[in-house]
Amino acid sequence: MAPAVVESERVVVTGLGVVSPLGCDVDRFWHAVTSGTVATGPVTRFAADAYPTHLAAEVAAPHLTAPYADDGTLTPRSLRYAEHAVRDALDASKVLPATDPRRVGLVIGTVMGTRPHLEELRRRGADTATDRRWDAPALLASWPAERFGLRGPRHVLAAGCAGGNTAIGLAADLIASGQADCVLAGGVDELAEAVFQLFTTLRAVEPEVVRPFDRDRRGTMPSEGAGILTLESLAHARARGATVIAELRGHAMAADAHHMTAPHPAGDALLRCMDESLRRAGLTPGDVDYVSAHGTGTPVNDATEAACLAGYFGAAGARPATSSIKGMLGHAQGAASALEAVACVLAIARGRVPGNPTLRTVDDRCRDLDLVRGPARDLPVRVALSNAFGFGGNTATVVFGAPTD
Amino acid sequence: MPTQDTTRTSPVPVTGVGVVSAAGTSVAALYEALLAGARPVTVRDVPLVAGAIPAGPNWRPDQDSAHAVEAAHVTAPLTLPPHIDARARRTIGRDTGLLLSAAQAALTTTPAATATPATPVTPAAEPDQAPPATSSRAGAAEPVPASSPPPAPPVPLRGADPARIGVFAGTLHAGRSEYVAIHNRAGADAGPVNPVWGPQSSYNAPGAALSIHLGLRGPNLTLTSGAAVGLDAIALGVQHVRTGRCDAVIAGGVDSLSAACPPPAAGGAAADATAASGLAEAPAGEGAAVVVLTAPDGPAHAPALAHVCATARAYAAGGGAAGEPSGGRADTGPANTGAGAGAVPDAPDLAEVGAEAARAALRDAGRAAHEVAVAVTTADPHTPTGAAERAAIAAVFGPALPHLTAAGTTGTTGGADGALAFALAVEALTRTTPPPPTPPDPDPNPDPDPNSAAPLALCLSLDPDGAATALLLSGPTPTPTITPTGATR
Repeated sequence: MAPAVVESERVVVTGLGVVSPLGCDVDRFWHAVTSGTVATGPVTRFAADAYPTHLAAEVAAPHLTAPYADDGTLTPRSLRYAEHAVRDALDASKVLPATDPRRVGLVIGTVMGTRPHLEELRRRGADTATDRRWDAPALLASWPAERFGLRGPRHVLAAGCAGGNTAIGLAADLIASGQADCVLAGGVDELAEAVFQLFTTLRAVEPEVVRPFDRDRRGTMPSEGAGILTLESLAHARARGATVIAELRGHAMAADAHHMTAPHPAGDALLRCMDESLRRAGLTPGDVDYVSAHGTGTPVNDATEAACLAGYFGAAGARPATSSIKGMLGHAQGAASALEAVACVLAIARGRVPGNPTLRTVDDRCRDLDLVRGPARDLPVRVALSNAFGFGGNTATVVFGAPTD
Repeated sequence: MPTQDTTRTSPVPVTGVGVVSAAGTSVAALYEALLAGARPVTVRDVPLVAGAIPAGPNWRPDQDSAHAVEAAHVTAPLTLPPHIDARARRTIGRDTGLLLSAAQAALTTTPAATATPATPVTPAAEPDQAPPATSSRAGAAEPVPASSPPPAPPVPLRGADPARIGVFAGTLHAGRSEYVAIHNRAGADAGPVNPVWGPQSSYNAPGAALSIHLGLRGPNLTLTSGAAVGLDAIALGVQHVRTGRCDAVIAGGVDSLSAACPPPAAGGAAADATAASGLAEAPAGEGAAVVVLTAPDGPAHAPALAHVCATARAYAAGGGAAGEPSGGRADTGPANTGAGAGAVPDAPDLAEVGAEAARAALRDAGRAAHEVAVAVTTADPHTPTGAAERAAIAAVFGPALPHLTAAGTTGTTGGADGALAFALAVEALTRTTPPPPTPPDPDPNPDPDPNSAAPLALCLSLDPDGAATALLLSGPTPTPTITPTGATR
């Protein structure tokens, strides 16, 4: 029999914080993502006239997105997003000041770090060769750490668009190994014209509305934001009387080892991540009530992922409710899977799963999935699984469960 | 109930080391150059990106380059895994090329051993196109005949399941040149963007390339959080072997010189000012270092060059009260790479953090300071961070411990610094003659050290933001360790 995991090694969620095109507080975000609100629209951050498409999803909060912050400083938006989401997650969890700040850490996943700030500096004629704030990814963790006095372990990591899930997994490892009692974990990325350009050159941009799993889908749209979860050891949460929202039951990461942009045709890493994360959680595919799919809306990703999900869960006789919130949010890169993790936790807490509101006609290759139609479905969620896949083949899965006590 | 991984408590064997630096393409060459006080600084142009394509009719291939850059350039030809085809070689970014070359060196232990992917490498394709149904082994002019036996896997990884081999990389700047190349073409009439730049413009590109070109399908991530990332990536790899998540790990760090952020041009005013101030002696540099870690009881079997006994991390106290913002602004943050904004710890505080990490590593391994025969640190000794590292070493081990710092020879690379330090530590442990003490030992007839037959090495890397990473290494013969995994502080 496998040894039981002690309370100090079990990791729970006690707070959430978001910055997104669907809202910059948790309740607003949840309402939007379960009411079919589509945040994608015309790009305003930069001139998109030269490109074949002109749509993306942008955070609509001037104090976070205006070129100059309220105090007149030119702070990268990515840092403002990180700070805002970390603050909300801290406030919601009330982990401070009750906890020794040396035992509270940060792990942030990102694709481009602070690099998009280059574009803002260029717009203002700054010398970007000497003013290097645009290339300081460490700030994504050190900036909020310094702002809120967090002195525990901190990392910024890159794993393509699987960065959010990967950060959550690394944070859980820090807690389980005793290096921290609490870690603020998630992902952050800022909308960038360079990202818009690279998606365009890869012919992966949708010209109208992102439609995951739709027969007529044509691609995704770049987006931005931050998703942060307050992760704690169960023992620490109980000792201070914290409210546990959900438990991080398992996580796994792997590499496709196949191609820099195309997924493995058989979904190799995805299958292994789902299997390992459930195994580590002591769960089976049949225990999963909701799957948050990576679901970018590109022809290849959705077909490959759908085949993997159908094959993996189908072999166990399971058919969990499935949706991708990228149809509403676009692709927030490093923040994407963190925002999706937030949605999974809220699905557990509130007994409702986001739908696929932009889905019109299901692709034949995706018909074996129980794709949630419309804005949402009321459903008791005891276990939610979320997948993420990134450029380079980085893949990561997280599994959340309802609190057990 | 959920399950937990089996925890290995034995020291983790290091079974391969590869280095690419201004001193050459081996760790031995770097070690000798370092002891000789070599400073291989050259003046070269730095192209912005590989795979440059014309922006318009008047475009010149060199117009995006940084010219006459005086730095610790890697001048030796890069040796990539032989199966990488010619097209991929032309378009691989500098960061990826350096890291792959270092990995190739780490994995190639005999002339006959070559790195081989577990799955065929397909040519780069549009993301929504299925890969070709057939593909040749990249790098060969003709497909491998069906009757030929498959190439042998690299010696250090032979026997290991590729799905249980992890890749952990550290970098501060990977992809920045490609990002700038893309944004240089923003807007109408600015010229086309080469599709290969996109995926190479993100920090995870070199680490991902390792998994793709070496066929390694286990856990994969890239750290990009501070000056110690090269050492942190190795520490993370050690932890993944110890927790049983991986049977082997390829870990290391990389950073390259970039035309987007070039050092001051040779003979320029900025360079003169730097030289006149005497503040920072180490030049900018580029390089990569990769190590192979294998589980002591795992399926891969290869002779150990050294063992990792312990990893530790410590963080500076201070700054604002918990829960309250303490000020600090990104627009007044230092321009240095990897440095955080706001309340940067004073040098004495940073030294104490480093000492704390070193002591934690010793404590976790159940070893004593007098067993350490050499320390290797990362930062330029002429900088406050470098001075703090030296002070930390002196505080824990005394002022006479031999102490190596590669920055003067390799330049300050960024993401590779910590991994280069680790590689030097491994090399030092394999040498029968330890490096000279720094400063010279005042006692010409010291009592023989009873542990000198099994000396240890300590790697220490400080981040100006107040973090310290320490790794404790022992030699080829494993020595028992007392403490279980993962403890810091």
